[in-house]
Amino acid sequence: MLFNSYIFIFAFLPVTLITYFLLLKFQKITEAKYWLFFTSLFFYAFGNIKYSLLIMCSILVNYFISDFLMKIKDSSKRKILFYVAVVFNIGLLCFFKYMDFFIENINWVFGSEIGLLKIVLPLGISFFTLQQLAFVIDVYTGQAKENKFIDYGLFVTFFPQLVAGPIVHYKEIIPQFQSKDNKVFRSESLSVGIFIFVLGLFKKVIIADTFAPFANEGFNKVGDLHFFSAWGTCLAYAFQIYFDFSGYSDMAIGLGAMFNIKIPANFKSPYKSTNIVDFWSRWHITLTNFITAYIFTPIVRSMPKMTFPYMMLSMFLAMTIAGLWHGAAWTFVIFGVLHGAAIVVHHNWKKYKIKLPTYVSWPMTFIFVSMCFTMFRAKTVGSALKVYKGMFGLSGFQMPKGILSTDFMNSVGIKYGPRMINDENLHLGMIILCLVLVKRYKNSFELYQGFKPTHKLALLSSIMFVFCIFGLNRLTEFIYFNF
Amino acid sequence: MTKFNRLFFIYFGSLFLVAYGLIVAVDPYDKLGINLFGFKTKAVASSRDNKFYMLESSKTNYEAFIIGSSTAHKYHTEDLERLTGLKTFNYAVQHTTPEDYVAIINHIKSKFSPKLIVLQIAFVDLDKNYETDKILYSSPLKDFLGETSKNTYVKADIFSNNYITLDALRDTFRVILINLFGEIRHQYLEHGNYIPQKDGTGPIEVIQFSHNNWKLDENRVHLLKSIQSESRSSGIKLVVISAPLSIDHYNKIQADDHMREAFQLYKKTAREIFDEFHDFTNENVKNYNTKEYFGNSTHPTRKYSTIILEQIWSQK
Repeated sequence: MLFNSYIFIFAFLPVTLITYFLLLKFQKITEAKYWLFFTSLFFYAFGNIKYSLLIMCSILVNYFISDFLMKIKDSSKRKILFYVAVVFNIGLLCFFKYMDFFIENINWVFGSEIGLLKIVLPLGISFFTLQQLAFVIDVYTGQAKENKFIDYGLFVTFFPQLVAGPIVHYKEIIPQFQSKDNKVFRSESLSVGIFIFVLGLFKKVIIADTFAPFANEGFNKVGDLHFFSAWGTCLAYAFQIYFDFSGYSDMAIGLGAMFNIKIPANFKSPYKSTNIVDFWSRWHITLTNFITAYIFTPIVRSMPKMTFPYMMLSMFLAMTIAGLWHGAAWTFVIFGVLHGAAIVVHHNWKKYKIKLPTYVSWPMTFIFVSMCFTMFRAKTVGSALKVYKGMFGLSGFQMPKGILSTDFMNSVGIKYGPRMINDENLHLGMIILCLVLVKRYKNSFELYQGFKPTHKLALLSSIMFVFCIFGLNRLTEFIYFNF
Repeated sequence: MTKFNRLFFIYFGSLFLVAYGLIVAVDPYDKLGINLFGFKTKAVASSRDNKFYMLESSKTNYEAFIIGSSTAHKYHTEDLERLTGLKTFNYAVQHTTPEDYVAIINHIKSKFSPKLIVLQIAFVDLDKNYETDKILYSSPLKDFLGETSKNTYVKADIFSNNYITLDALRDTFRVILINLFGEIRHQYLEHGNYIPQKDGTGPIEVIQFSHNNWKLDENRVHLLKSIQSESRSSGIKLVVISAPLSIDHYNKIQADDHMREAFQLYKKTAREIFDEFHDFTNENVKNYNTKEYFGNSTHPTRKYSTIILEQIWSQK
């Protein structure tokens, strides 16, 4: 089920929310948790029931392993059990997500003709697998000590964060479900929840989905892109993915708030970043935390020495793995490599005390990140290179027809090429508007922290919500559902 | 419940009702037959919607139809009526591919018993890289796509056919603004005819020459075959025209090896599919190399469109 659908907003959410608090009101605490667990499974299974078996199987295996890990004292047996859990989770991810990629590359290297399995990627597998793997690691290292099935099930399936994060830790969520204060309906939580949810819905339905056709058109015609259209395509996707994913995260946080659950922030104005490390501390924050704790740190520990070059190598490897986590294609690997390389460069600059002024470092970071997203979005590496070729002016400087005034452009010597899309002026206007929005205004996290339920804000939220309701007929999936 | 929550729900309910009420009162696509404000035109929406509803509300018993993309806009129904004696409707809409033709013909057949269909196809129609216009899948024609059209659009839910859409909201305001202050941007006359336009001046601009990755779309070939076979079995005479291109456009294609081969393949495929295929994309077009005949390299004027129809019927 999608957050941006009528059935979710007008049926699933009110029924789930009202029943949950009614059960709590009558002290049916365990029943309330089971209600939320089963409705979350229903949310996941809606439209594609077969993968709910997979998630149930994943939950049961991880639950029983972590339960045993808590009970067993013998360190060698614990180690074996721990590796079983790691192999199970990584194996699950590899089979469903990377098997065809692996076969394709085997075929390419050895000239073999092994048939592809054509497995449909189960929704949210990367997220729920990572979340559970992190829990098993926490149990193994003694950081998580209690484990009730319903709490564990709810931690994995709680519908606001089930499909595309934020990636949460057990200790961040379950104590909140256990807290007495959170077991009563709080209208102020509903207010902030509504506000943040509507904000996220607006980001997705009105902004991201308006950019989507521009980006799709550009990436479908990479061979025809000239300088302006290539930049238009690159920036359209950079904004689409930001508003799509941060919109989803806002909705998740807003929904969590409605249930008195604080889901951690996932975005803090990433396009305000003035360097690449700053970017990753603001973009998909929960993934960055996961990479740092569960990929970078173990790699560093496995290095022979804790020196600067080894640290850089570890960082580079961790980012490459993070790139591959996003998808099974070389474009994602290169996306990770580019970011890894940029982080290494940044740390070297820092080491040698090279500092750029903000008016250079901000556009440089923004353009670099946007160009990396081009690699992320392109169907093939070759397609991404064609977009870059256009962006560097190697395919000519024609202006797509329909943009700005023909007379003005002719007078300054700009030639018009073929029309790329309809509404080019809307595209240009949206890019300028969004640049201002992401650079100048407060982010959802700041708005959440400073939320005051005023008359004006109620009006603004309802206007945004009306626009969203009119936009729901477009019914599009979130980009991160593919990862 | 706090004041904020109450206000939010009250504001939302009121604003939604006002917006929806305004759409219904204006009825931008003429779906409901309401015109509370007595606006003169509602012709601001997509041509698919406009022509669909023109035909839905028409009381004329049309027997002949002109179908195609915007390149077929200028065929005047009077010309075809004069040549055939059949009451004609021009159902040409912008940015079409064979998926549109299937839906349009199915729509026509659901309401009329056509005797003649003049279908103008274009080189780009069979290009696999040329995407079907997504507007088709949100227009009322989507219900007429039929089995033969394999499309990938998300199946819309129960709300999709009503006026709760951003497009409807936008078009409502456009209808209001155009009727109160503006110029009518895009209007079809009776029988789907295009508004008369003055001939331009200067050289004919070569446009839409960006299909250098042209690749034959087998699915669309299949669709065109089904149009021909169903026309045959329904007793409809199908006359197919290859949309004319200006001589500069034609020469540009000939100068490029891949494009030239692709162009030949397109024409060969069309000839094999259709019983009656008229090719107006050849060197003879050099005799019509002024703005009197072409608005731009892919859009013939009314005058040239008349010449094409006359040439076809003079051969009969």
